[in-house]
Amino acid sequence: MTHAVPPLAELRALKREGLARDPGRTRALLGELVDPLDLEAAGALLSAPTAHEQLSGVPGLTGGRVALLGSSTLHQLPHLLTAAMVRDGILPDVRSAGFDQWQWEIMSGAPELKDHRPDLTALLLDDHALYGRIADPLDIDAVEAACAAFPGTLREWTAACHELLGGLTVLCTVPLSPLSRDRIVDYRTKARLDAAWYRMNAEILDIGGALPATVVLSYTGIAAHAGGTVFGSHRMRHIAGQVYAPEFLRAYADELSRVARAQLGGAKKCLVLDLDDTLWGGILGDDGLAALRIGGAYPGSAHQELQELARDLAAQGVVLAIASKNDDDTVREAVATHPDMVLSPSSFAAVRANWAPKPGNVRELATELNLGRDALVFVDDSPVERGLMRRALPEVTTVELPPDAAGFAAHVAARGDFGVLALTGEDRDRARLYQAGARRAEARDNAADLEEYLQDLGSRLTVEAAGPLNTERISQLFGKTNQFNLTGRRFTVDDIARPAAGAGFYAARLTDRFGDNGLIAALALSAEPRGGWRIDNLVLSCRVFSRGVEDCLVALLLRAARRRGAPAVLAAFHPTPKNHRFADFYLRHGFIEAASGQVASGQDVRQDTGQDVRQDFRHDLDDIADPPRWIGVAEPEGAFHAH
Amino acid sequence: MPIDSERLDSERLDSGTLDPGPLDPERLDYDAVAVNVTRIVADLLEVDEAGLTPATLLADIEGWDSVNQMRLLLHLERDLAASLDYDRFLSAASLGQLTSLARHTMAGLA
Repeated sequence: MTHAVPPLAELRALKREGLARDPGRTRALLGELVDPLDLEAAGALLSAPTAHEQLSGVPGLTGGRVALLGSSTLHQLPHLLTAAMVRDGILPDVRSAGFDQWQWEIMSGAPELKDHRPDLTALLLDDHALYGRIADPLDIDAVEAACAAFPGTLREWTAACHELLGGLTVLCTVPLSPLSRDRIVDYRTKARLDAAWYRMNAEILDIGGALPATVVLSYTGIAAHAGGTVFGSHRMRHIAGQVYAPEFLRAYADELSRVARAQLGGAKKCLVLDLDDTLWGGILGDDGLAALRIGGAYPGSAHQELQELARDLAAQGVVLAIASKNDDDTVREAVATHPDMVLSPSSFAAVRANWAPKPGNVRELATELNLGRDALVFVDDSPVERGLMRRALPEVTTVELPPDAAGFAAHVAARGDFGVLALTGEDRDRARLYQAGARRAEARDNAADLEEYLQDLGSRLTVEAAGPLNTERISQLFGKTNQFNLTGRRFTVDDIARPAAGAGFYAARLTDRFGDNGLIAALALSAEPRGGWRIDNLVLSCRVFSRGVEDCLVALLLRAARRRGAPAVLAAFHPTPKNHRFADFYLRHGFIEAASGQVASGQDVRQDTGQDVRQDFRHDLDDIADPPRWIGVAEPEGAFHAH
Repeated sequence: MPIDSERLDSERLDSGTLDPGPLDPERLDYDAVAVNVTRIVADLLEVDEAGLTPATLLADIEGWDSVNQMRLLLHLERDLAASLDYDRFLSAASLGQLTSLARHTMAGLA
């Protein structure tokens, strides 16, 4: 896109007018900045208190607190990270520990970072962190010993960091600088150094699987996104202790932003694909089915590669849909019959093939799939269609594809829009779940009335307490559910595995005659001092909306509380940018609004809006509605308990 | 004539054409260098360009610190597509001296 005004200058002008006037434009401008120095300058602009004030509370921007630690000078990183995160829909509050203070900061109880209560703490080390422990860099035995010991040090550090700061800890493997290797003259010793270094990094990567709430990034993956660059100029290293190249730090900031997005529930869920010259080469309507190019020689190979990527994303839980300017029956025939198609009709949860403008089609797709429009990623080779989508639906992520199809798949994959912290069984099954959803919709359309349909579904609900097998999924449900999420409060795997005294976490599973929907709801419960129960958060997957599951859960919970002699159940609604549809949920279920004095304060409620507009409710358990007749419940008496 | 006392081309500043683009070393435009240096300093430190003169001491600009000094070095070098003499960069106390260094660098005299 050509600009009369460079993006950075436009951003400065926008800031003078007030960034909140057009946050979509702010994010779009950030998306156009590629050079790390420009991105750093943009981040500096956005980090200023005035800009932060302008953007806080803006719809579409979630708040997030980040702590940064390192062994070299990282003063560009907070700004780069701010620019990347605002672009990706998060308004961060970033705090850094001092130069090379990473170990001291955590060993001394995190004096700089503790009161920041970071959602995410990132540690970026360079080889000085190792060589600082070795008297003689030529003493290869000592280097090997230090490399062998370092992962243990990092593991202890990570555990202590997590204990002190909570949230997610993000480590990164450590690159060996050329000078450290090149000072050795013989190849045998060089090889021993490299081998020790690779072993060390492999063990660092293992820490992610061994400790809760820990993600380990590989510096080689980040460098690949930085054009292969890791280290900065030697002059900046000498002048300022700056080891990493701005390009590497930019790619690292992008990766941290993706991790934060996955953690804060902003991962995308659905890939909407154009067909002609995107998923296949050629124009179906003009060239005919036989002329389409999929596989074989380039460019067919490039389109096939994109199909293979879509297939693999779907296998990991990404929902696929088609938005194409074509006749519907022609498209369905082509997808079903072309012998080189990697994807098949069953790969797609929804298809919109017609001649209407694509934004309207994509809006309908979101409704049909019951997904927020900001969960969609739109991929189309046509710059005109992309421009139209950006203008009409800025909340949809529109991918700026490279001009040559050869790069389509690599470009879409590198964006990391669908990144999650850990994949669950439910994620892998999602494509099947959405197909079952389509069959349910068909049954609904054929049923005479809604209740008959619901009866006919044969729904069965099972409530289960959190345990080793479902903790990951419960944390993910709290993290990824945006619409039916009554307080916006997220819980990490660690929060759930080690709940505070008197607290408990529950999940609910729903099956019906079309299959198992998996875990579809999560509930956080705690005990009040005077014996009451408190719902700290209740989330319900959008897949099972309109089936009365939430009514059933509340009825079960209220009954359980009464049976165990609790005087009341307390709850709160905390508005977030997405949950307004459910603002009256507790009122509809017989709760009454409680004056704030009636409710114990001090709850750590995440405030996505930046404003304290939380509403408190209580239910005195006198009159409890029956659960819906069409949902069978396994062990309805034993479902919930607060200690 | 001492370079510090040279005035910026205020007409260019006022006309709104604040981005003269990268400098062409074949055709040195000293005024453009001055405008660029001033703009980069103003942008990086988020101060009003109009308040900056060649006599402005860098240390007097709000927000000036060692981190911003390094940022300025990187941005100036990118804009000039040349490496600045580090000692002379560190000893440049005023905007005028910085501009002078940039001009000398462009002319290959630094």
